[in-house]
Amino acid sequence: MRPVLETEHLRVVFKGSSGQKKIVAVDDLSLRVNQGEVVGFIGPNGAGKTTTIKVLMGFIFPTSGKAKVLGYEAGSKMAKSRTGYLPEVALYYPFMTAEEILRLYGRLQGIGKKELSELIPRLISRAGLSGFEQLRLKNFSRGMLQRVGLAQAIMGDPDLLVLDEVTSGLDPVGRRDLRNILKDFRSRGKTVFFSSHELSEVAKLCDRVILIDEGRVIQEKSMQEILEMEGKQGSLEDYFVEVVGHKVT
Amino acid sequence: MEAAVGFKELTIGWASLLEAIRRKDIYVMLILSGIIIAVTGIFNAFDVPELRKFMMDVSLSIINVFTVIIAVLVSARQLPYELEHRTLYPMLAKPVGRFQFLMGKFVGTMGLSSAALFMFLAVASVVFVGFGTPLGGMFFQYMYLRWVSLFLICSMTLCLSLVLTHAANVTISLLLCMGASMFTRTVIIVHDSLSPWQQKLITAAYWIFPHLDLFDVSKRVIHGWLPAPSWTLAVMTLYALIYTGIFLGLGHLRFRRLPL
Repeated sequence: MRPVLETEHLRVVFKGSSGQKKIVAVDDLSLRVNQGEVVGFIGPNGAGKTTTIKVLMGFIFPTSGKAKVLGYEAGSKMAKSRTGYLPEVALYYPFMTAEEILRLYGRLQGIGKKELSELIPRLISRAGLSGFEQLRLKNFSRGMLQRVGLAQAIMGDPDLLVLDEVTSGLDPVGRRDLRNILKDFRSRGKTVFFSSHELSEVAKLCDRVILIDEGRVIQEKSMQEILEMEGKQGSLEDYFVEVVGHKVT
Repeated sequence: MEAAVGFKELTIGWASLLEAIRRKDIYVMLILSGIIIAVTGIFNAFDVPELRKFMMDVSLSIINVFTVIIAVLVSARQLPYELEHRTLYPMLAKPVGRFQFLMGKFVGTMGLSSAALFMFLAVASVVFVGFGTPLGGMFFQYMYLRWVSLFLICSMTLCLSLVLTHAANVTISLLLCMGASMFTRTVIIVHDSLSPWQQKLITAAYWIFPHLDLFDVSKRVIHGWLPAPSWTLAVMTLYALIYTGIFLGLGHLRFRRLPL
């Protein structure tokens, strides 16, 4: 099957300030996500999840190793044109309204004016923001901003969704809406790669789990395998704690 | 393809412009300067030529200072704000290159600084004409050169914002913009009294630092000089564009591999 997302021996080292030692955020990380898969990227705090995702989006550059997205170099315009991304901390221009910010991202995505005027109300409705489209984002709660983030990520119907801490700030209704969006993406053969600390949500959403710790892939298992594991590991959380060896915060 | 690239830059620039308009702090400067210019216009009522020159001097000095302050403050906050508030992640996740993003910010700061300059000049023109001081060709050359200097100021401040802290950038940029004429005069005065290596150093600095004082022809407007030949304006435009290119190029070199 065609890999949509691929890293080979990825290593990211952050230089410490003078006198401080270097920090290895990602160390020899190799992973592969195929077309049509919904993959959960989990690990304890500081495991290197966000750093890996930032490399995939071209925000930071690997010290060594390779990262490819949709067959293109990670961070290239070609890769980004078919990728939807939700950042870990969703911050959007507070002086704009939801409609204005989606128009801005739509223009940057290369979507035409006419198409945008039809698309934006649909996205606002799908993200559960109907009635709030003319409200400035400075008045939005964290959960509402996450919905705006989700709306901009799925804009233009990307082939790949990369979502960092996707459930952060979402209420139960928001999580259900998110599940519906991701199920719709999966049913249309799209690929979703997401990180989350909400393991119950990960278990509901994904086909496969990649577990990392200290910048390395510890294990990769399909959800089926995890659920079928006998004995003490009755849930994804038990599996996580068993493998990583410490509690999720 | 080129048109699409320009469109994305304009879109990013439009966002910067919208932010400045909605933040409202720029209005304080515009209203304040408008009041000062209008008040100085009262001196014209005395019908004394020297007072008229004084009025023009004060008005044009205010325009010079406030346009520089607006251009520097707006340009200096663009990239640090984006980095600090992480608002650039969703933008750069779209098919937008980092150079396009930088250019978009430059377009936005230029748009805002130009709008402020032309508003100041509109107020000054109304006051001058209203009190019977005709606007000669030199005044329009002054307007044009002030506008051209904004390219240099905005690009320089944007570039410095990638290597300096916000406070350091604002201080250094304002010093470079407002102290340019003082620096030039000082170099000319002290040059011969320096040792040979000091002379080389100060000469190098003289040629490296942009001479923003060259873009200020307000004194010629005040004293009723005839307009300069058009080739002079062409050379000045080229001078500003070369520096703008250098600053945007240096900014891009820094920004293209900057970990975000």
